[in-house]
Amino acid sequence: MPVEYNRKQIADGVYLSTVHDEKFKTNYISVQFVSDFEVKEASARALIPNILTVSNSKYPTREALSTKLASLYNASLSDTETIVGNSYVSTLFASCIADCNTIDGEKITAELANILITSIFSPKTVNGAFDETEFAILKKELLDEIDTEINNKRNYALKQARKTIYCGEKSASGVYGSRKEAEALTCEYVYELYLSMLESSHIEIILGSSENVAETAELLERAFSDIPRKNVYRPVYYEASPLKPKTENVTERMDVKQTRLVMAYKIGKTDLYAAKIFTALFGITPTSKLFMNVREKMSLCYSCSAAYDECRQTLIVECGIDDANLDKTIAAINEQLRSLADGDFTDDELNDTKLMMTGAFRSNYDSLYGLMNWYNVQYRRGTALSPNEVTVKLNAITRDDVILCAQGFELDTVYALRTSHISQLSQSAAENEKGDTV
Amino acid sequence: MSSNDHQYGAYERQYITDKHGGNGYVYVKHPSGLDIYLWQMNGFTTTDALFTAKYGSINNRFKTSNDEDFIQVPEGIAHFLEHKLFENEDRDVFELYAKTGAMGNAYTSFDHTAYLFSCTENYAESLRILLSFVQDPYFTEETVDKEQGIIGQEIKMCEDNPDRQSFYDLLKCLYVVHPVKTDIAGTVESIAKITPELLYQCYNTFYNLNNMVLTIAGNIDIDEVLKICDEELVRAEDIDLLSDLGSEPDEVAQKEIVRKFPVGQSIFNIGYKCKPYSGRECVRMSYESSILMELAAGPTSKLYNKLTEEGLINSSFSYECFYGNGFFCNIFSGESSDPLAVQKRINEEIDRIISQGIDRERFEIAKKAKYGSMIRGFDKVDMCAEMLLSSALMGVSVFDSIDIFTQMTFEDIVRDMPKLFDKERSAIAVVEPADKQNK
Repeated sequence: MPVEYNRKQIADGVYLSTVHDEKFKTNYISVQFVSDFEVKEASARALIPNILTVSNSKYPTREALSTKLASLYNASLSDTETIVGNSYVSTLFASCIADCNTIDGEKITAELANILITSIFSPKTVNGAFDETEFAILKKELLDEIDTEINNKRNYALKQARKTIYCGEKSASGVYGSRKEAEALTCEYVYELYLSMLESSHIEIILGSSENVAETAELLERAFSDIPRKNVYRPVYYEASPLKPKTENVTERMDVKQTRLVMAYKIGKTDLYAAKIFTALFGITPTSKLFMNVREKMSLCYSCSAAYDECRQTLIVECGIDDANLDKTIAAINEQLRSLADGDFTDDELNDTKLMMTGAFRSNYDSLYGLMNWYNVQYRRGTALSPNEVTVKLNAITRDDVILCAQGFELDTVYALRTSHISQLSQSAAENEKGDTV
Repeated sequence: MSSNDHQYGAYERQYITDKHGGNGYVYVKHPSGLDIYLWQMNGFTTTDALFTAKYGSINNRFKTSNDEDFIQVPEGIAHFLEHKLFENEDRDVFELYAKTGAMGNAYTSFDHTAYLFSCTENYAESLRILLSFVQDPYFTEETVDKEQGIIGQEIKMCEDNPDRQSFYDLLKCLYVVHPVKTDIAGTVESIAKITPELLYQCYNTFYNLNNMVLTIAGNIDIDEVLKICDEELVRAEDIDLLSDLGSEPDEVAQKEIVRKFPVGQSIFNIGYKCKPYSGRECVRMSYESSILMELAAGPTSKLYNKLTEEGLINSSFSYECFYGNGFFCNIFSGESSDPLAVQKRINEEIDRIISQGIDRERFEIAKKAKYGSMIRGFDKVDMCAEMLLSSALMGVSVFDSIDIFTQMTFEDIVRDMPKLFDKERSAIAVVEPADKQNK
């Protein structure tokens, strides 16, 4: 039986989507709050879903809620925070095995939905605000998250690079905000922001199921259709990030073994599907220009890959290299982009890339979670295409479309997190570095 | 012998089914020597295949019936070989996969090396590519030199990963001689000693079909897969392979390693060394360990919540049972401002549980939770293919594992807890902020 997908509005700025495929053994519920935000609010917005997922008025301690979820066959209640375009997206996510897979046929999906609804609308509060004790614990955890962002050098380099790539834009903000902002958070302020999130966020609810979950859908619809709504946010996900007049070069030093390089290119108007094919050909597949040349032929790195942020129309390349090869790698990456802009690729390479991309898209059919994400992206694009329908669009992209796309990208930012051993520096790289104490 | 000479086909298919549900797969002992496990999953689009050699980073000292004595090879050579197998004399494997649309990849673990692909179309052609290139090595001085640069960068990337460093430091604490204490990728210095001759020697020893497994799950036709196997697999003679993993004592090598690195907060791994298990016993002990770690310090435990309230752990805290050929240990890991205090509290809780007993109701909940996690594993094609592989390496069936789990009793875990969490055989590894003394 094919995948069934439906999306309907249930209140002002509140939508309920259902994705159904009976071959799976799990059910999922995702509730996204999409908010306009000030950069200084990022820490508070990151904290809200954390508070909502560790306890609620019915299960007022972590231990009580964790134990309840464990008793529902290890049901999960979790949260993620992302910045999409210029919007802050807080997602609460619940999942459990399908009722038909429980030992005694227990109705655990509806029970889990009720826990999620309680967490969202009836958190544990004391005197009209979040519980101070729990708030203090979670605030410390948020500070830990911010402090330990440095631990993963790849992610740290990408986060630091984004500050320059999206300088002056909301996308420059990390999802957790700064330590200073997090330290200043108060329980009352975060609670007020939580209330405004319920009132004015754009809300996307997605129910992914492998069995009949009409009861759960009804529970969700009832819970969200009557909430008071005011000044509802209408998200605009797609807004190109402006290209800087001159490429910005930023260097940071750290006592690490490997230099991390991040390069960002931006483009104005472009065809989405051409950009997808171009990015794959440039730096996603194992036969891409970056993999075959920068890694395989030049042995400069273990991985060198590209990712395209379609909302910001920005292409980000990142890799880990020997510091002495910094200039050489930057030149090599630029050269690979130039070669695509010059049409230096065969029809076979293009067709192979399409085949690999369409296969990757079609693999979403085998993951209920993947399908939920797929249709969420479709909604953001203003479409409702299935993976098979998108493969038709990808296959229609021509060689000229790809060349035109490659020609449109211009270098915006070069960021390097460099090893702090000066003896390893190439002379020109050392000369280019400004005001850096080694 | 060329592949065209083969006339296989007459062999028994063993159907392995789940007595509780409709799941099932086919096992074939192929005349070439290869163990083949095939799981046809109706309604699914993708196919995931793994062609695996029971050869990992720990198999660094070995002999066969053709060798007089044990041979010692450089650390990291299994991983290096994995990289090099993708490059044949006249073609690059990724370019071949590009023609079928499959995403190919490989990985090396402590005790096996797997070559895999995932695809939604043309699985038969992709399978031929997989079986063909893994059986056709090509190593030269030039290609070995080139790979040293790429793997050198991979090693440096790993050296900049403090979680990985802390994990390996723990293994160095727990193990005195077992090669599990050595990084899978080796070091820049050890891989510099690798030559084409050594690669061929390792390949000819371990990439023998009698020492390999093929596992495939998803959108396949079993007859077609076996026909391709008949055509592509080259019969191998069993060469009585023997790996020397050393004689590991019960005691740990050292109780603690602390290193400094640019991190925002200390990262720790606390481990309890156990005697190694194999087969069904290993499966059972790993399940018992998971349940006990949840009861002692998992999110449903009082200790987890106290440590969280006191700010000693955060949401990064987790646990795992880590095991393989000749090693078995239980590990708690996470971030903390005071890892030694976390270690002390976990040890105290283990003592308390051993002396005062386990809460039977919590045991039943933890068991139910684990059952739910196992069911989720059947939801994805790649996970089913991996389950086939891990079960095959363990010498049990996927459904044996479920039976072993469901038969696990409260009395089993009460009896086994002291030997699974022995403080005398525990250690801690910490990576602390480089500037900690200045704070």
